[in-house]
Amino acid sequence: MTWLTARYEDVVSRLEQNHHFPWIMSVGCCSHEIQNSSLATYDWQRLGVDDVSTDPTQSNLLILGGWINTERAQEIKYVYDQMRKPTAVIAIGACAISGSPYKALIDAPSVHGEVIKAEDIVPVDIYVAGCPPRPESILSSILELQKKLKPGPSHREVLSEALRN
Amino acid sequence: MPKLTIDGKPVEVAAGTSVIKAAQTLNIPIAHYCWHEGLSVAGACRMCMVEIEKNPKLQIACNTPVAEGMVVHTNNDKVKDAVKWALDFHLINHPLDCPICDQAGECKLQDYYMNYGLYSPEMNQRKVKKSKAMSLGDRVVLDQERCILCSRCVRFTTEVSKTHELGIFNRGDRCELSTFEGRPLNNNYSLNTVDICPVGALTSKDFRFKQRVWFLKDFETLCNGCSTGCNVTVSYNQNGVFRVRPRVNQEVNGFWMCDEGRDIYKHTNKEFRLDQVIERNDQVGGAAVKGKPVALAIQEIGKSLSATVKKGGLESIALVVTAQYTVEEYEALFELFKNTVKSPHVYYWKNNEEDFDSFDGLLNRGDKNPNTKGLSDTMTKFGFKGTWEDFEKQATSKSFQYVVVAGPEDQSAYPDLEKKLEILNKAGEVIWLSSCKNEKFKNFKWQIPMKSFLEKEGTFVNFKGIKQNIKAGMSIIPTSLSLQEFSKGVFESMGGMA
Amino acid sequence: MSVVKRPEGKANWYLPGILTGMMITIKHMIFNLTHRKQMITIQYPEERYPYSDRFKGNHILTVKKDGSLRCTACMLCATYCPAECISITAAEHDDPSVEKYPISYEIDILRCVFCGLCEEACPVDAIRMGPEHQTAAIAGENFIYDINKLAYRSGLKGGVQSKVDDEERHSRGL
Repeated sequence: MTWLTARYEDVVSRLEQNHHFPWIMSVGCCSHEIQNSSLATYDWQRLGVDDVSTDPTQSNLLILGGWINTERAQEIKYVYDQMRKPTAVIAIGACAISGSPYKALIDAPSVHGEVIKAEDIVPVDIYVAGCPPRPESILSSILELQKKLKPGPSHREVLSEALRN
Repeated sequence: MPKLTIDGKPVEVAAGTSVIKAAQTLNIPIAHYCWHEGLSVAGACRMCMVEIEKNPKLQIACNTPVAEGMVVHTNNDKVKDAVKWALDFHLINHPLDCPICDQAGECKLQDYYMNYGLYSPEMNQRKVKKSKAMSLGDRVVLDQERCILCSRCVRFTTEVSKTHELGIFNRGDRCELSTFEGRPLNNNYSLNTVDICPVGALTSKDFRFKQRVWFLKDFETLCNGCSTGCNVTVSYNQNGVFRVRPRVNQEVNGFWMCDEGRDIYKHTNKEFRLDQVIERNDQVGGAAVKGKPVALAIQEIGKSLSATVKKGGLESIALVVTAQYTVEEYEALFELFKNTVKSPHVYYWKNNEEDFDSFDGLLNRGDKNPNTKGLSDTMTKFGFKGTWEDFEKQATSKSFQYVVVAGPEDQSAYPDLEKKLEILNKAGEVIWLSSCKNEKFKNFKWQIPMKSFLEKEGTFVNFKGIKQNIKAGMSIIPTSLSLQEFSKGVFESMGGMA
Repeated sequence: MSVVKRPEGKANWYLPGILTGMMITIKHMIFNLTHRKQMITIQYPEERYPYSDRFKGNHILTVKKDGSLRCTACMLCATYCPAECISITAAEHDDPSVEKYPISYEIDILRCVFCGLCEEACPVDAIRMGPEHQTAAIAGENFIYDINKLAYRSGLKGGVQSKVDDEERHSRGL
């Protein structure tokens, strides 16, 4: 009967373990892959990622992709501070994670701007390597996130195990 | 003085000069493997074919002396065709080892193949197999398959080092380079054969597989291994220095350098360097305190020196110098001691006295310091005469308060270091300036990291009195100081006492 | 000004219009329920999209017949890599016919852009881009793949062999 006496926040956080409201800040080819994973073929709503919300204050999952320069870094920080806590951050692709496709700009920042790593702006929970990663990788990052929020076997794993037997 | 024309450009050279040398004065490249300026002519590789007008056949440029009115073509179709086929014959038995060959990237076979290569080889016979990775001596590895039998290394051992270790044995395509039975290639100039090898047949054991050459950057400096002062090129990247090769300077070292000098980079790499200030703290039982900022340490040194000068007068601070620093550094340090510290106790620390004046007849000298002459000149200029014997006498008769030691950069050149450190320890509190770390220095009051010869600018004067400049090529320990910086820092923190 | 004139009789009725619109959705629903195989959505963790052999996924270091690495540590991949994510340390092998081999081969997977230039640069077919898609991982996990992970990870079942073996190449005089 603990659920009766549970606090509102506990209930919400319990529900949010498998329910994410994404706020996507992505440019370049990674954003195509992110869009692709939200569409019919890969369909991340199955995994509990809700429709793209229109307000960062309502979302709790920040998805970063693409080259981050100084202006975008400010924007990302601004958005991250508004978002609902606890906020999960997924960094997608080599640009956002390490900036390596723009390594000339890392070595010598020029008039074209500079490259900032995502982990230098916000605490990143999940890294998705790739350039750009396939939608599978993005979906697996969401499964990883759920595993991080709730350790142990997930409902999906338990169910598939049961069905196999 | 015959006048001739090479590729339409007129040139006048001394009689008896070969065509390839005359072309070199015009900066016209002629492909060659066996010809080397410092060795005799062999004419073995047949790569330097040129067309000389009124001459029915192509001639090799390395063995044809110039003549009046000669007209030479180095780059027409006939020559290119001849070089192409000569190169293809060289490559008949050459293995496709480029991925694992250390020479790749600076290999003449690769370079000339790009210019003249026959891109569809017409040989379909099996390649002759010979032994690979043969150790020729302590420092050189031979790969017989890669050898193109240019005989440069054989001529080097007969003509320059005069040790006659290498020879070419058998005939035809079974021809192979090797050493004689029981006589390994162990002379002190063996690594020059690696430098002059145009392909990857001879490789250095020290450099083997350490780095690919295209990851390395070069800069020019001097060898500080002995008082000859050979001109060298140092190859380095962000991980440190990897090799040292000779640079042509006819006045000093010609084309060569000794194997001993090739190890000089080792003590400059990070793992052997003193990278921070180490202070002996007497309040905690003589434990070492590491990592004090250099500027702060120098301030403290300056304060304690000035306190000693005020209290104890002139006789309490001594300076011991080794001949491993540049002339400019000595001048700065002597300036400090003459005008600010006002101590006459400046002593010259001479190492390995037994074989100091020895000479092996080619390049290597027993005096293992690059700047002995520069130091003695600077000392006479400032009027200092003290030697190590004087210092020992002084140190036993009465102790100094402080002894500043501009210590050796290369400790291996100081075989009796330990004995001398004891005398230094007895003499007084030691302020040790050195680029290398050593456990034996732990009794010293201060250890200040110094720049190695790769990181500073200045002048070395070699045994002949030839002044040569070194330039700062790289930075290994960013916090380290030169003696100028040290002297300036001490001068400022002593309050500029005059 | 154009005015759309709706047919008066039908417009008064709400349901038929809705049902006409819903027909498409319902048709798809029934189709999907009855033809599970042809459904467009991939049920990701259980179902996987079959990639072609040329897919550029995680790297694989191929092995020889005896199970040792094919890589000769020539560092052409590290030279060619536009992201500078490969670092190799070479050493001398006891066998003079092998001569050079890597004692460490590391790929920083977060820097890698999966361009496949390492695969193209390799003269001995020692590195390939495998069929596995890139994996996501929690921050703090090891993203620098070493020889154990690249050549002998469990998915490879003891290592992938190259088609041409060294001995064959030597016997053919190549």
